[in-house]
Amino acid sequence: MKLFVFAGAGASVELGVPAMRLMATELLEHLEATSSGDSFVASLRTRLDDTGGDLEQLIEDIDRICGADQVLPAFGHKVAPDLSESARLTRSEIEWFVQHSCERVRAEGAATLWAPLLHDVGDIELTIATTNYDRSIELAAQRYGVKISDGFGAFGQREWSTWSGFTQEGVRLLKLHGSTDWYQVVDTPQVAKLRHPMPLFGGVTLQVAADELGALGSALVLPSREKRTNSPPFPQISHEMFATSRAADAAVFVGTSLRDVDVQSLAAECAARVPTLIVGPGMAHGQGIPPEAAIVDSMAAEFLISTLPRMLSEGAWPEPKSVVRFGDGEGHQDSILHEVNTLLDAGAADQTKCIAIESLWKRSVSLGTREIRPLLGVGSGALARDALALVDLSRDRAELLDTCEQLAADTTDASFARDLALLKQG
Amino acid sequence: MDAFEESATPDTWPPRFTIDTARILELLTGDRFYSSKDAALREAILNSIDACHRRAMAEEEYTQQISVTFDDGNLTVTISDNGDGMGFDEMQSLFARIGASMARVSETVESVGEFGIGVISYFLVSDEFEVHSSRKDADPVALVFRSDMLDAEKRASVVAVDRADVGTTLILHVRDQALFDLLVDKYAYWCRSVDGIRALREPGGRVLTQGSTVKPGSEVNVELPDWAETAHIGPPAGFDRWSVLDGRGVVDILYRGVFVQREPVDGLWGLEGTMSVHPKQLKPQLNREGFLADDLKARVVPFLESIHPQVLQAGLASLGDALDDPAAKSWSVEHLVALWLAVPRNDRYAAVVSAWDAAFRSKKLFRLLGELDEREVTLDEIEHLPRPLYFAPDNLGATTPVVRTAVRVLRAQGKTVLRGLLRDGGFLETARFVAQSTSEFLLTYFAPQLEDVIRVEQVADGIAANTVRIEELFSTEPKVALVRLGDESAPLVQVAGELWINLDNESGRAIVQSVCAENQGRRSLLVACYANAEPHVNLVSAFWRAPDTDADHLGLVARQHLRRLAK
Repeated sequence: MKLFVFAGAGASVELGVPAMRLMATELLEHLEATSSGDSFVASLRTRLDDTGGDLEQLIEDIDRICGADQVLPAFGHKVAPDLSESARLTRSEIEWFVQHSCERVRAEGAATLWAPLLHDVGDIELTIATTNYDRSIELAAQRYGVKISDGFGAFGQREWSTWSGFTQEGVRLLKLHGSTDWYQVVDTPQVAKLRHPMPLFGGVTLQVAADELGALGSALVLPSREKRTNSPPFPQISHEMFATSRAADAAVFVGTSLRDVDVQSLAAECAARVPTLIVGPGMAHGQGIPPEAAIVDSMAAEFLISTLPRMLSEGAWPEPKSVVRFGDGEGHQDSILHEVNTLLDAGAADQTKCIAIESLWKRSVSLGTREIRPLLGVGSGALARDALALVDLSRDRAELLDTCEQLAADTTDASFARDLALLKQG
Repeated sequence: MDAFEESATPDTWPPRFTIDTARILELLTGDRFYSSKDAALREAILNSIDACHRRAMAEEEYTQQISVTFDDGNLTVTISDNGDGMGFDEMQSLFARIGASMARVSETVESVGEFGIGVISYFLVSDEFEVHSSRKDADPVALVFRSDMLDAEKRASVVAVDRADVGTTLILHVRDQALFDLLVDKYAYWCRSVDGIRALREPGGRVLTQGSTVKPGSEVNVELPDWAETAHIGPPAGFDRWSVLDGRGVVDILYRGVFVQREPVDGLWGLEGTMSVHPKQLKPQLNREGFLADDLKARVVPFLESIHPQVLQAGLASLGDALDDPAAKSWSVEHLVALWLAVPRNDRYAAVVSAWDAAFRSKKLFRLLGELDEREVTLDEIEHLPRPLYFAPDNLGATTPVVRTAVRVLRAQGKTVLRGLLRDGGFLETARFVAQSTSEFLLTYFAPQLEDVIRVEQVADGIAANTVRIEELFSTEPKVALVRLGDESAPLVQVAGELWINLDNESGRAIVQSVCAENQGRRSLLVACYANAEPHVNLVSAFWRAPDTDADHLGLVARQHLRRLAK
């Protein structure tokens, strides 16, 4: 099966990457703390309030000021020097801040979020396209040894790699707006990927020691740089996206509000052809969502960890045009990521894990063998007994029940055996 | 004196004992005669009473007077009466007849004193005694008798008469101080209700009182049998007497005021008093310590049995009044139970039974076993309780676990469960009880009136079989199980060391839900019970205090299962 997944900002929010509105707030606090009363910075808050906290709009506004400073002299005008300087500095701060914020992704959470799809679900040809800069998918793939094809060559012994094009091996990862570890080689169309990336500010560039690469600047495709999508490797990435989406047997759009017309168009194209899911809390048809698509009212983490792997395992997709809630059907607005992380945390106390299990069980979250088997231990104690509840919900129920049978045969915990019997009775 | 002179001969006067000496000694010292030396005092007083009685038969205006003087200084006991006295002939005849066989006692003789048998007993305490006697129309006589008369067939000595008026004076020269003290002490034992008797101790003139007899609280009117002169019989008076009854009826038998014997009769509880036998009808034995063969017992027991219903009837009246007295609170209820259960139930007692039942219907002699507590109830109240009436064994601890479980279930179901009270085993112990407890009593005698009375033992197996045990909430000891007892049953029941939670009861279900939600092991029970069934909190005490084990923390699957059961 070929699965096309489009991951928007919502897919990373639960990992600690601030959503645009939160990022805008944090940015303003950062600017106000570092600008020493700059009147331009003060005016930004008003503008942000006017636009409902739309950071992309703010960046675009600042880019226009900077652009005007280049164009107006040709018409005998000029932008006030103070304003021009303030805009230029603010623009640099914003770029640095965005890159910095995206690097704050929590690696443990990233592995928890993406591992079920990347690692646990077998026998699918997976393409993930994303406009997110963070490296959560790469971190998850790295944790579980999943090969990623993102267009860059292997690092080998070097600190960097360069674009080499997509391969047929592994999970295809299409980072449509670049990545926090991607850098533009200054004054060239070349883009490089660093093993140890870092955020850049303004005119600051990186120079990898003793190599043939030139100075490296930011390669993030912020709103003002959309023209960059016309430069390598972005056209190839876009092409790959359209190609894989058109070849897919099913498409999933998760963590995106589909406000972007290009994404809307892509979703509509997919929905017209294959089962297509639009995933997000509180979403409804209309508002740019193609009518043929099925809406899954869910947070990204619950969908990626529980719902999607289960659907893939069972081969069951929601009916087109439907709106469905999986799990307990309550449409929760809070993430399950913390609870799942707790289960996977070897250092967490059993009692804490039991609380997490109960929380997940109440939401009917379906986990796999990888998450559940360690909880069963040797089939004794409160944690093992509670974990039986997750066995019941698991997409790997049959396999896990076999394991439990073996444990029950050997354990001295009569309650475990009793609970297992109850579980089998249904 | 003429008579004396005419009949006196050297062979007959002064008199001497004419019986076989060996036989006399045998009579005096053998067990079958006098059992104690103080019998001499009794014999002396009886002789005086007989003499007075003879005079009373002859004279209309006569008052019996007997004086007894214990003289410490001289170690003498002087018994003086105003009886008919003795003259020469009587004195001679008396001694001539001493030693006569029992066969010579004829029905025409009215008093044993006529035989003079008791005279010999005087030697039990003295080696010498004097008799001074004066009889109407005869010369007074005074003689001294010494113990050596018995061996040597010596004659009594004539001495100067120290008695002018009609009557007899006996002076016993008591052998020693110990015997003297014994006689003093025994005066009250023998003399209980002798008319006209007065006793002094000299020097000092201290008056000695007669001993007491059994006096009933109130007397019942009875028709005297021909062998009885008087009878003062009835129920005891006051709680002091009622509370010490041992189940025997007790009657003191007197012979003209002198104590003869006490006659206790098993089973005739609540009866006591005093009877005086009629000398004409009841023949005393030679030694006067009893009566011929079993004559007395054979007559007294049937007589007392015949009047026992009357006595109990009267006893109820006095007891009924007393039970309303605050003093009755000191009685244990088992004491009261014993009384009711000891009322004989046959035709002769029909009226008594009816009266006692009526009185005791309002006494709280049963226990109504509620869901959580017990309360005392009366038979009257029982009659108005919802049917059926289940009777639990009186001693639940000694019954089977199945029966105990059934009792608990019935209580939890709000059924009418009763338990009787055991009688006080130490009270009225010789009485014949109609039942050992009020429940047995009720089941035997009142069940037809009450209808729908069921012994729990009879239905225990069925109840146990119909109690649906569903699941265990806590499978470690002490166990907490989920059962179905019906929606009108209590939420919690403690049965045979287990706590049962009734899933048919809303509070029971809420407790299970709460325990599952809390899931803090057994402690959750307390929280759940407080929140949902506070009156039952005491029931869970032993169960939530038990040490938590790992297994007491319910797994999610178990909780889900239990929650479903408790929905």
